Amino acid sequence: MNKKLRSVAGIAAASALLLSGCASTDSGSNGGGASAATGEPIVVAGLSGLTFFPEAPQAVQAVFDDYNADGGFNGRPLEYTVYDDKTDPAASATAAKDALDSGAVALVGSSSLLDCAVNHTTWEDNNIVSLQGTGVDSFCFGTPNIASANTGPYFDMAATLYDGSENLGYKDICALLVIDDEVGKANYYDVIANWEDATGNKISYVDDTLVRGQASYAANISNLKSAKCDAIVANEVGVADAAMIAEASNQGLSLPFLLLTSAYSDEFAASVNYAGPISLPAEFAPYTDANDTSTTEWRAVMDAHNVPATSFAQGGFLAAQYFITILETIDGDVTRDSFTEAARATTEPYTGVGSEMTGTPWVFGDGDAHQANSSAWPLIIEPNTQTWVSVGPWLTGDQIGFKPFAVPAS
Amino acid sequence: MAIIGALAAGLGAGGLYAVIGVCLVLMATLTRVINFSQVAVGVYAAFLAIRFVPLGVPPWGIVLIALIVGAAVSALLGWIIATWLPEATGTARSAVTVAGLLFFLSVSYLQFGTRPQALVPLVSGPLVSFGVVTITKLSLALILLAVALAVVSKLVLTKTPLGVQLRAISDRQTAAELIGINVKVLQIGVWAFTGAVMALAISFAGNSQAANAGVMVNLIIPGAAAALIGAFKRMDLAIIGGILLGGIQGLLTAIPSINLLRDWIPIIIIVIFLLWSQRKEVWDVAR
Amino acid sequence: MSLAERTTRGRRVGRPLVIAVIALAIAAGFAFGLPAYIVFLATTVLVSMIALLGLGVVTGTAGMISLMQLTFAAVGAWVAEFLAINTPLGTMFGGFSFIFIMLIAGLAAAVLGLLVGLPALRLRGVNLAVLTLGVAAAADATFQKISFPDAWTNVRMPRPFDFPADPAGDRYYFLFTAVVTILICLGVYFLQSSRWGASWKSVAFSERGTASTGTSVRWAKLTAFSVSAFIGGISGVLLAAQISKVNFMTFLPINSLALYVLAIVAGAHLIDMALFGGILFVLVPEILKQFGVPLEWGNIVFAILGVQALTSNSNLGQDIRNSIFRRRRKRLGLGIAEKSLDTLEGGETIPIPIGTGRTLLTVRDVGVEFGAVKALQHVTLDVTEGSILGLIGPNGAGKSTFVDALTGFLPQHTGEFVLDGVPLQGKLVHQRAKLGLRRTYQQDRVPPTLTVGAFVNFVTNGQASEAEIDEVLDFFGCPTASTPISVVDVGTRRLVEVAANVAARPKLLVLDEPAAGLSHEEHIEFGQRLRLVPGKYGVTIIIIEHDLDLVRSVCSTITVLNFGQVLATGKQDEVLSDPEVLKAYMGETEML
Repeated sequence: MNKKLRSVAGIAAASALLLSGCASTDSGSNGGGASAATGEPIVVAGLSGLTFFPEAPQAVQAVFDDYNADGGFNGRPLEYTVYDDKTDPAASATAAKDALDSGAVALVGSSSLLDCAVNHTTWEDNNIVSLQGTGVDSFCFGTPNIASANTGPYFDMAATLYDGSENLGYKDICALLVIDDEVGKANYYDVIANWEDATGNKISYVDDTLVRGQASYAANISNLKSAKCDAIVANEVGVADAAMIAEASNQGLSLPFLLLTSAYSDEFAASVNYAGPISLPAEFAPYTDANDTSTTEWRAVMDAHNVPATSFAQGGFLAAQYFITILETIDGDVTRDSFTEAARATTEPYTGVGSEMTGTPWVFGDGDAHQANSSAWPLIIEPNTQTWVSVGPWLTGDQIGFKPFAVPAS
Repeated sequence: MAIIGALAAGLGAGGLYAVIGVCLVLMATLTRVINFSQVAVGVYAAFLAIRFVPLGVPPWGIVLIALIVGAAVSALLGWIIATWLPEATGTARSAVTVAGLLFFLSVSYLQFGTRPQALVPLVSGPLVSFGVVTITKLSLALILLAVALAVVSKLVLTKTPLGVQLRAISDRQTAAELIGINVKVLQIGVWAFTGAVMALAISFAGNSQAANAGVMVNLIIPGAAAALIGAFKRMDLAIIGGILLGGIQGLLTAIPSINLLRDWIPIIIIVIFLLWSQRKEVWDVAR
Repeated sequence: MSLAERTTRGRRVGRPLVIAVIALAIAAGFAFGLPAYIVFLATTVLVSMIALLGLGVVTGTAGMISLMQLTFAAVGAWVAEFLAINTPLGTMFGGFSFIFIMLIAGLAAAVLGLLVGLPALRLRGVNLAVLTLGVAAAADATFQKISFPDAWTNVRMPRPFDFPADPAGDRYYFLFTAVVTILICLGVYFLQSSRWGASWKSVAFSERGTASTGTSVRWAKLTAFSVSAFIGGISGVLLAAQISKVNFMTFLPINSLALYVLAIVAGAHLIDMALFGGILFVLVPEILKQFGVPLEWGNIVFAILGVQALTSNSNLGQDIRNSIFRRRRKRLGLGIAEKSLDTLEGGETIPIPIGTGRTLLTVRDVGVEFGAVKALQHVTLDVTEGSILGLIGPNGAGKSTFVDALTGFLPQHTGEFVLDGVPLQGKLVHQRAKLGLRRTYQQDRVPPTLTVGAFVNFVTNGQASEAEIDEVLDFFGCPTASTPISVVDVGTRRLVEVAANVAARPKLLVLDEPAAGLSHEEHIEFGQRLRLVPGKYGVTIIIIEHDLDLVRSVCSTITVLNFGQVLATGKQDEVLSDPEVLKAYMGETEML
């Protein structure tokens, strides 16, 4: 027995050593970096599914590190801690409690598939606001305490449909939808209906029976061949999109695909080998386009801190900037309540560093719901190529007829 | 016609289930293990192999690397089981493969990330099309692979001295050891073989069915269901079962009104089939 | 019951209750003494512990692999949310509604367990694992499509007694969860000590052995599965109320796999180890969070620990338990040879019992074929009530096949058996056992996970009192009732098996080479006791033996089998001097 316990203890110790070694370059959760600001820290927190969005909190940390090196807020450094919510409601709720417990004055740069749905009531109950780096579920765009830097999948869906029919000329669009819950489903159908109103088109075919983690999309692709399709729109994540596109190749299709921002990555582009074009509207100015000047300053900061330059990093970067801007309007003590009040009181849109990465000006505002970013930038992967190419120009919410939605009251 | 198209598409997807099913049957009969890591080792190998693409390795070299890595990691797992659990029950040995699945899944996420992997499928495109019904090259390739695997295994097992030894260790392991057969090496060899086969199958399929590590779990389930139809003993039933399973899933996709039931029909059919095929109460000799 | 017995029985019931009360006190201290965040985490520990306890019942105790424990939790959560949010049941009983809802949700999960378990009974061990995984995947897709009731209208799952969802409410909720956990622990403890628990351990070790005791294997497996499902459902309800919002991602099949591995690492069939598992489940991610390490490493840690636990064929819990017990090991009972029968019954010569003259068992023209091999042909004999029949013959003569056919393991045999006027045709193994037909086995089929007393209690289907059990054990020179079978040597285990089956007072008991593993003196003592059994316990015996001395010393009648046919049958001296019998045994050194 002793030998066994010793071996288990050995394994545990070795793992701990190993893990601590790996931890050094990761999310940097051990509080604020070494800073020129040396006053009493202002505690800030963020929730992220570190598996899927590791760069978002890294970007926040980079912005805060620079800010602290520059003297912080009246000499006070920003102390940022990110909590991994593992994309699991239970872990997310725990992370939320953890964040509140730490005395955070605001949530900044959170990036998770579900933390808005799980925690928005907690934020409201505790009078704390969350400046999401990347919001995904409906509640990131329909509740009073959460404002996202990005546009979210519903706006994205509206934009990609509009882009497809009005800019790219596809009249008969077939939809493959994955539904996570009733609220989401209603939102997607609303988006489609609004698009039909705004453009006069009718959606040609809808398959909303997709399941996350589906082993094969062969039948779904086969089924839409009996409908009249000029293009296929899908609301899945990049990995599933890649599988669908590969399956379409297998079945001899080369129909254009209209996707959501989740597919906007170099890895996705490298993973497809498709005879048709693939389009999507990005939530921020295209980060893959090194010539796009609106991303230059952001890119410099990312490079200086070794953060991968992706759209999630853009979201985190902007969320951090928004936080600092609101912070600097506060006159007295910096507390959770005072920050929330300041956030609601902002009326001037953000015009600082990186503001050109969004097509519409960002402001928190006093509403019951916040869709502060309502613009998207079209990109395309041309047939038989493997890189994203910037197309532009900005598609704004007014232009595409986007109507903000309300989530059911709690 | 749409239904036939969906059926055909599903049958093709079932080809991969058939390959997995045959591998599982081989492992179950020769090494007394239900290998829950079967798909995981193949996927991990394929993902690792494409890391060599930027080094200028040609496509056939990438596949070779995948085969080697698949064989190696599978053999490692087999070595652990053969060394420390040679006399243990099938349950205990299989439980180790469950831990293995967990391990490979997590390592994969950490090592390769969660974004799509740039797998280049060895086979792609349609073979024949009649209207909306398409038979893809990939489905043919996978079905052929499954059949070839079963045929070759059968031939080796029944007609070669190696096969006799393999059957001996699967039937009466202790007796085989006593007459000098190197049980451990043979078993590890079987592990390595199926690991390489899975890596090959995943290389064939590419992203259409293996876009990221999550498929390690998503594919083992229908693959194991296919093997279950063969009661983990018969390769022919596993092949038929796998293809049919894919076909049924495809067919049901074309009937939107039974959206919910669709997920349950495969497992219900399997259960009914098993109950019928084992309707006489049978007492396990060993227990 | 004597005072000593009453005290032991009282101690057995009293101790867990005392522990429960102490645990409750500790929980109360935690609930209001620790920081709110720790209390929240501790609630997760308890919820995981409950899920693990359920898994421990089906996996650790009954030896089946279940890879859908979180699906049961999901069903529990879903049903509870539905009842609480969408039906008047949520408020019908005020604060107590939650408890009713929780129980109903647990039952719903148990029903699913029953539905999955029924067809799965035909599937051995690992096949069941695949089935559970398939069900988990189908359920996952279904929950994605219908989503949980809290998502339909954005209402949160309410907590019991209107506890709020803030840190103060968390403390009360932790206390509530602790109470539920303690109750479940008590339930599991008493179940494990009862005949249900013994049937689970028995079925994990040997299905044949279980059926021979009159316990249906199907029943044992079904109860294990349903109990684990019920407990799993409860854990889901508690989780839903803790975080007030769940979705399919909480209950993914991969998480069920991870939980299974964790159950193995911790040894979740032991209650304290389920707590250890729950702590591990929460602690490992927390440690990783401290280092800022992605939580994937948690799964890797569990995987490695799981492999370690499996390859060392034990787990931390078992090791700790064994080491404690070894220090307090009781003296084993005197071996059978050390307690000469003189001191028990007085008198050296006990006559060979010849019986009452009434025929108890009629065997007519029984045959068994395995393909082209005729293992038994035209076997006909009678067994007199109260006598001991010896069944002898060379190896491969068909003796064990005969016993298998008699006890119901070969339903395809021809001919008929009639026991005490009741034809055995069509009766299953456990049904024949209930009719008064018992057997012991050549191979070891006594589960080492039980104590001697629990095993005997199980074999007698609870019909024998503690005093009777102690008496029979003493009679055969077996270790005392509280001895774990794992420390008993194989030969003595055979004796325990014999003693247990005698204690069940069957009409007919078939002993298959019971004395193998005993020394020569022990053979003689054993024979003496056997001669007393028909008179003392009313049991007729058929004994299969190779040791002709033993056979000669106990049997009044003998049947000789050779190549599956009856060579000779009748009184002892006639048969053993039959020239045909001598010819069959020519060359055997065991001869006269």
